[in-house]
Amino acid sequence: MNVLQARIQTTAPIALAAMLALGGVQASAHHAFGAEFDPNRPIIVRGPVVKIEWTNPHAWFHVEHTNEDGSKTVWMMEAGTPNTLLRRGIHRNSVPIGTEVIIDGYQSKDLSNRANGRQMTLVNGETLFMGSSGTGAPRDGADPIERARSEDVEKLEEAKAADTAQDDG
Amino acid sequence: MTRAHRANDRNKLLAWVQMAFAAAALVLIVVATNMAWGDIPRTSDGKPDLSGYYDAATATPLQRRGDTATVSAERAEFLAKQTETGLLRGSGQLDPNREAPPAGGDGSPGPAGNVGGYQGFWVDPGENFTKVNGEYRASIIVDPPNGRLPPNKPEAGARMAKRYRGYSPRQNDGTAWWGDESGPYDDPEVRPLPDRCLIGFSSTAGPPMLPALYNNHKRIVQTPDRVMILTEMVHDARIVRMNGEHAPEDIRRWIGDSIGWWEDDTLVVETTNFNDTPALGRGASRDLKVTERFTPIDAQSLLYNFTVEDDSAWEAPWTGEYVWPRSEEPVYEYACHEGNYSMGNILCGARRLEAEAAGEEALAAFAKTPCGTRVGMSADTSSDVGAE
Repeated sequence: MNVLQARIQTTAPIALAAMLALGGVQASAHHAFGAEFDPNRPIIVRGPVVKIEWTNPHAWFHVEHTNEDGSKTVWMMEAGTPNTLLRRGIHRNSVPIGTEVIIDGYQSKDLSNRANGRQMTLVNGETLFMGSSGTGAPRDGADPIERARSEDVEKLEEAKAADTAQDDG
Repeated sequence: MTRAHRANDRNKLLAWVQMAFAAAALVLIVVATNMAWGDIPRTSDGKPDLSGYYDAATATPLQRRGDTATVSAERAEFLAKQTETGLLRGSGQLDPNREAPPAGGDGSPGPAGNVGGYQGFWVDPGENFTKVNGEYRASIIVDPPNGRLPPNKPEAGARMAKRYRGYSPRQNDGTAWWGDESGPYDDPEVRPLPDRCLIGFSSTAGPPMLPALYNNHKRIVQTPDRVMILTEMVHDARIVRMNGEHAPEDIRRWIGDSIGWWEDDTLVVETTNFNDTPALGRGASRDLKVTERFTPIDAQSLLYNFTVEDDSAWEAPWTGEYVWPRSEEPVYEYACHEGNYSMGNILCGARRLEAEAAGEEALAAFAKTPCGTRVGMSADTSSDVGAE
């Protein structure tokens, strides 16, 4: 608990509402968010990147977070597939070791210091390219463009997601 | 104006007309030449040469949602623009002093509620509807004519219930909801195939090969005897034996056994001998038979058409098609096992939740296991893992 800046205890009604909302449609991804990460354990870590694992199916960023008592903990934050990132012009040297970052996400169910990386922000507020195993991950409305997306696209994506709902290979 | 002047004007007009004709002829020659250049590439034996890279991403869903088989160009372009805007969201600004996201998210319905972990910048689902014969298609499925999958047979439902047991986000409530019974996290082999890095999700390598959320690139390498179709995700490579016979019935594969032949300019690939869990899912069984047709449209694209038959899964066969544009992008390596921390996280997470449910004693025991002592990283802080 010491490294978590904001772990909010979820009340049962909220969790139930979220589960019902998530229940109808499931998009496909390399693996299920629900199998690996706990939606009731949101975290945010701040600190320098100390290591990058540029691997498939997911890249991992290791970030050294300073706890409230001054001790340091390294967190592994799951990112996207390097192949897609590379096609968008990002490679492992795009974020030099030592770069100060802020990454939010949800902790692994085993309570190891790992989490899915939802969004990575540099200290100036510029976002980058985090985004990890998303299936079943909660949406918090933090992304302004996400909020602004048209209903049309939502419906389209819903249709696509429903199509792939059973695509586990 | 004198007669001489008028004659002079006529001559000038004649000269202009001649020049115009010459220019038009030149244009025709150039156009004709370009058409020849734009013809499909061929191998030395005269067959279409399908070798190369393709990007099979498309915004067209497998199944139609509305009443019409096509969408208007205006609507297709509007939706493509919207999707592109959404995908660029990873390049914007976000408060660096923000708090952690709320537990459980905000409960919003819709796909973003499910895939909130993805910043759009990262995924690559395709922005454009597939355009066949000048029309934007509203679904990949073209038969049945309603653009929808035929009804499943009852036995397919039972297969799916068993196969997808561990995949429901509804059950992600932070407890060992499976209780003392055997659960979907008992061991690696009960996890879905993509978790295990065996094959990609969304039937990306198929067959049939369907568009996925990302990693939609394909590579075809063609020889007279073999055609190799490589799908980027999980590096699935299908080897098609040209003019061959299927393997004996007891030889079963994740992506089936493929043989091929040419029908005019169309490469036909027939795949059988699947195991019990074909990548297609949706109730497909080991009886699945997929017939794919690769027909070059021009030098820049081919039409991928497929027919699915499985008498124990669907009431009728079904057919789909969409265009594969050629791509300048190569297919990259996808060494899935290399960085698959997820499997360990999933299994360890389940062990912890089971211990939590069993009480303090079990939790103390768990803390001493390899799962319980994990902290997340080694002391090594070098960053030389993976390729640039």
